[in-house]
Amino acid sequence: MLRQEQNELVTRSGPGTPMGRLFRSYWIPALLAEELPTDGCPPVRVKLLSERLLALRDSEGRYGLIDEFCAHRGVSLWFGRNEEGGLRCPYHGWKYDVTGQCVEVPSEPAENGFCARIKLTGYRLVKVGDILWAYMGPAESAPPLPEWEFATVPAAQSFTSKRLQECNWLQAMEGGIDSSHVSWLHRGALNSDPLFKGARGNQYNLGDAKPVFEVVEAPGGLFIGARRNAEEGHYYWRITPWVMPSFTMVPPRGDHPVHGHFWIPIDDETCWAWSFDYHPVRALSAAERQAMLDGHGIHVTYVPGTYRPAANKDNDYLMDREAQRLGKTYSGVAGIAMQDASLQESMGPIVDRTKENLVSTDNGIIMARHRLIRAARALAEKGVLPPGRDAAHQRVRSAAIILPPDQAFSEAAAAALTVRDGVAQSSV
Amino acid sequence: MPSESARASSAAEARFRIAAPNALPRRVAIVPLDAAARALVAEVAALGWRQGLFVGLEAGQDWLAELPGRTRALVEAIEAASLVVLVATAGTDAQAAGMVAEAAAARRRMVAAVLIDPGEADAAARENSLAALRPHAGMLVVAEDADYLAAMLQALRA
Repeated sequence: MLRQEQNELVTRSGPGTPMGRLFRSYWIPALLAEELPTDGCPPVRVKLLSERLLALRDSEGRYGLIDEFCAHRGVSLWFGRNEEGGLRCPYHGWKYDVTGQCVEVPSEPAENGFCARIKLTGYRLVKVGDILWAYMGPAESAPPLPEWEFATVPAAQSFTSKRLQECNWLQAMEGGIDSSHVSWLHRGALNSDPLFKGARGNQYNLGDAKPVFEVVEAPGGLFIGARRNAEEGHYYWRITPWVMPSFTMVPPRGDHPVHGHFWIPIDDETCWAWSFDYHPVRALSAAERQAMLDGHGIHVTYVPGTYRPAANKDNDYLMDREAQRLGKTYSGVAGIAMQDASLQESMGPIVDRTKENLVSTDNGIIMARHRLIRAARALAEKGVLPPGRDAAHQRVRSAAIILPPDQAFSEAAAAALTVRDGVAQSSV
Repeated sequence: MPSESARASSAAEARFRIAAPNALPRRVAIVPLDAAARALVAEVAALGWRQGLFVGLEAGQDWLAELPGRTRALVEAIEAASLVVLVATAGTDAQAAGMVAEAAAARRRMVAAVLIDPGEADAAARENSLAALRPHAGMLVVAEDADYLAAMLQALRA
């Protein structure tokens, strides 16, 4: 459980909040690059960390993320015209560049300096991999650009999607570090999903329903190891890294692409669930990429023209009681992503953690909350920048390995848990 | 007309969730396994807990004479608790882990272990501590400091 004030602290990420300041210490995924596909394309409305923004790609190919509303009369600049070197408000012709600087006010003489004094809030927006990343914090403490392996391998080796999740970011993220739910909610997927099936490790998962957990603090966050029995007294370990504030990677299965997530607050009651798949040393096959587009693995299909999942709360997640009765799906909801999202959204917009009853297998969640609260307070009270900003913290991998019983995964798998250029993931 | 799921998960509907307690109190037995752990646990115990049972295994002035009392206190704490938390510091041998865990297993109590590792122990000594705890703990946590122990006990409603 958390006390109410702790729950408030860790779930609220708007401007001026401790957790808001924490998120504003990182480069965070803001849009898929496909949303701004060409120079001078239409702008896109974006809400991030409870701020209404507009993403731009100007005629010169420069990206920016600015206040959505014109400084003149408060019109939404989503209606703006993307003209030469900036976005022009259609109401009275005020024009802004990608930094939010007003560059033209037609009703005022250029010589009087009026427009130079008009500046919308603007944030840096950069393309790394398939993603446009935003930095919404103070310019003087901007971290280095993102170094996540999935975003820096060649494009042919990686696939990224996002989906709207209609609940607070933390309850969504906590699902990503809650290894013990997999044996229940997602049972069945191991032998049927094209992006999971066929791995030898799956049989260890299915053969040992009571894994033993180890949670180890790491410089950037945590490693959460789940061990199951393998042959000859050895253990099958599945190790999940969590990097602050909201990055996780799922341990790999066989030679399938490796996948993981970011959870980024839109506001306090909705978030983007970012999902990526990549292979460190080879291109994704056509079949793998098609499976991801078809909503397999950790991806979804969408309501056309949106990033809202086709199965959503408005259609009861396409609940199939017959599939549930027959055991085809454990909860009656199809697909791993929506199995998670349906239950997490059912908790309500922000779950009341004063009423929960955690058990010892929830220590990954307990530790993650502890780290987040500690870091948010250190930043708010002492200005200490949080972990997870350094390249070394980001160059982590998940791993699935078999170890003798006397070896700690944190030492024996140290190399497997680190990005090694040109070396495949450690997987079983 | 919104779907049942859309309506039920709204903020407005959250007002109608039942406010009554949904669980009876459960106790947690906390057992430090070495001198440094005893000192850290004593600091945590001083924070005040309703459901935490802090057990001492340390030898007193008269080790043999006090043995029955210590054993009885440990067994009573284990019987009263639903979870037993072993606490050790990195670099120690945590040799009492097996004995405490055996007593817990006999009463079918869950065992978790927390290794406090501020980074001062060498790798081999740290591994010895982990090796002593690993066979007995369903959940093993390696934490940098004892603040985590307090956070964990609060999260578990101790």
